[in-house]
Amino acid sequence: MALIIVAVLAGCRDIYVKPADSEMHLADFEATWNRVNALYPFLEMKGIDWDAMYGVYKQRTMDAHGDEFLQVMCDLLGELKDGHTYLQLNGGDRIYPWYPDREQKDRHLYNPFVVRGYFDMELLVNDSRSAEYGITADNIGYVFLSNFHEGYYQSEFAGIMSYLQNTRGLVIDIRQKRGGSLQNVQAVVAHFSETPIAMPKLIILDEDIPLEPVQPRSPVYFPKPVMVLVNGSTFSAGEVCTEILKQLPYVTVIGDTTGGGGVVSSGDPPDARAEYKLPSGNKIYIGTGYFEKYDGEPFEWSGIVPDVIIQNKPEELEQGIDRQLSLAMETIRFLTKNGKK
Amino acid sequence: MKKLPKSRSKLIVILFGTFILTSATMLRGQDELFETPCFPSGIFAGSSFSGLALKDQYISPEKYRGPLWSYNLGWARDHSKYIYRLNFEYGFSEQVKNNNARSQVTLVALRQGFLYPLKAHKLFNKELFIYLGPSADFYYYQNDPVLAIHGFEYVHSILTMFSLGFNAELIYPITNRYQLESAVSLSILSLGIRSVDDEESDESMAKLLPVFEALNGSFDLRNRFYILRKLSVSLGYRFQITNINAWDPLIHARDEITFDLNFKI
Repeated sequence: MALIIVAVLAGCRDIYVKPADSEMHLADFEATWNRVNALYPFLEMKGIDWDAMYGVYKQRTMDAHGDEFLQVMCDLLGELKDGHTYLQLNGGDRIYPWYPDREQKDRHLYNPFVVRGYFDMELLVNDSRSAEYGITADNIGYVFLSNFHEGYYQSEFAGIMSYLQNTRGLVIDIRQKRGGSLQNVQAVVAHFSETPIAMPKLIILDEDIPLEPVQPRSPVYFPKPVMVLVNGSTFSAGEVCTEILKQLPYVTVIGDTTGGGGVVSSGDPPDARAEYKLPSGNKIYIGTGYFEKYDGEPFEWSGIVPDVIIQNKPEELEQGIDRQLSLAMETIRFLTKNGKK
Repeated sequence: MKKLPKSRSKLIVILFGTFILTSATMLRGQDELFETPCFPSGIFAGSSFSGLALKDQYISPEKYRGPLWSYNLGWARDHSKYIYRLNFEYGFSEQVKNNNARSQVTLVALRQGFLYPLKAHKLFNKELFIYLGPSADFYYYQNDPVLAIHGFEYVHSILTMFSLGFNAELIYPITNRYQLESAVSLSILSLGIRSVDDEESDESMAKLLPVFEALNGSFDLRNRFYILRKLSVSLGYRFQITNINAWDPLIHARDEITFDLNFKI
């Protein structure tokens, strides 16, 4: 018995599991503070006194031991109240210290199974599984865009539009969406205008970056009623897509105000990269630029207010009713009744 | 390291899984009972309290320590030429700490092994029974750091291993009612599946791991008292270590006080 107690207390585990070699907390803190101070575009707009943060968080950094520092970093980055900002740990997992309230509010107010109830057919899914689409019994097209990442829509969206081109109207569902690339946004919007579409203004490192207008993409042009569904979970590239579509004839945006995630980054020049490696090896994501809406206001925080505001209700979703989708379909039916356009 | 093609990773998983399941089918050879008098066969139910130390560099280079309770349920059957043993263990703690940073740790293990008796030896005028045989284990580890973040996504580190190895047991009866037991188990070859950074690393999440890349072993020392002829209780010490170097290094070790009840069937 004595042997057991001695063995447990002696702690063989500590012979094998050694403490961390060194701490780089202060170096990580300084690098983070400097990076934000130098490049983050919204300190002034958001009224953040970043200089004051230095003293507060330097002291917290010095007081933190071991992984207590992770919480300090989360709190520091959370001061930016930016849904794009994250801390990435060594293994690759990301901690997002802040989400827009609107995104949290609407996160569960879209239900793909409720959407399916509006169709007699099974919704089709594209090869990359980034979109699902179908046609109602009375010939209304529907496409849900889940992901603007990778190059999916550049190669696959034209095929989806070919399938939907003979419908009487189209619902584009961009609810539940986080970010992606501008090229994918352009691949989508190019099917809804027969003339070049001016892009929203892009600013990187305080410089205007000229963007070529989006050229119409053949063979499918869709000059019929288009309802774009958005909510607070529509974010970043989803918002840019919505803003461009909103300017076009035939397009009506329905739903609730989008999340308001406006920062962007670019790989060129290297300083404009948002992801930045800290001395410890962990990484942070700090946006280095942003898009402005056509009215000159940044997307950040403000988001896009739909043409028609309507909110889904949890109790109705439970009964299989998606108010936003229902309104979009009813509007298309009304606008196309008796062959009207 | 070059990423394995998905189809090849799947093939490795399927082949390895098939091998382990095939070895389990040997269970069907349940021949007539032959009771080695001192071997505690039958049903086991137990619990252990351990001091856990871990360093999971998928999360951070910091060392975490804390208590962990685990529970186990086992079964051993004494056949004429070998003993078959199956044991399930579940452990959980939400008090594994590095200073005031806290993590939740979950451990699950399913171990099966065959023990073949070797020739008994004399030690201090008493017989020392030695058993040795192969084992096939499943092991699952999950580490969830508790961070007050304002969001939905969270960080966690996961390791799953299917291992082939060996286990050995020494039993030293001192009186009719009291015996000392010692056990060692060690993985030799494992199929490991680990959380990886799939956006920035081309490292495969599934790898075949020899012992020097994935050590998963334990050492036990127990006192067993027979309360009744078929009912015994043991109190002991166990040291368990898992050390993985094939990805972001992970090491965790436990000093445990173990307790179990055994009912011979």
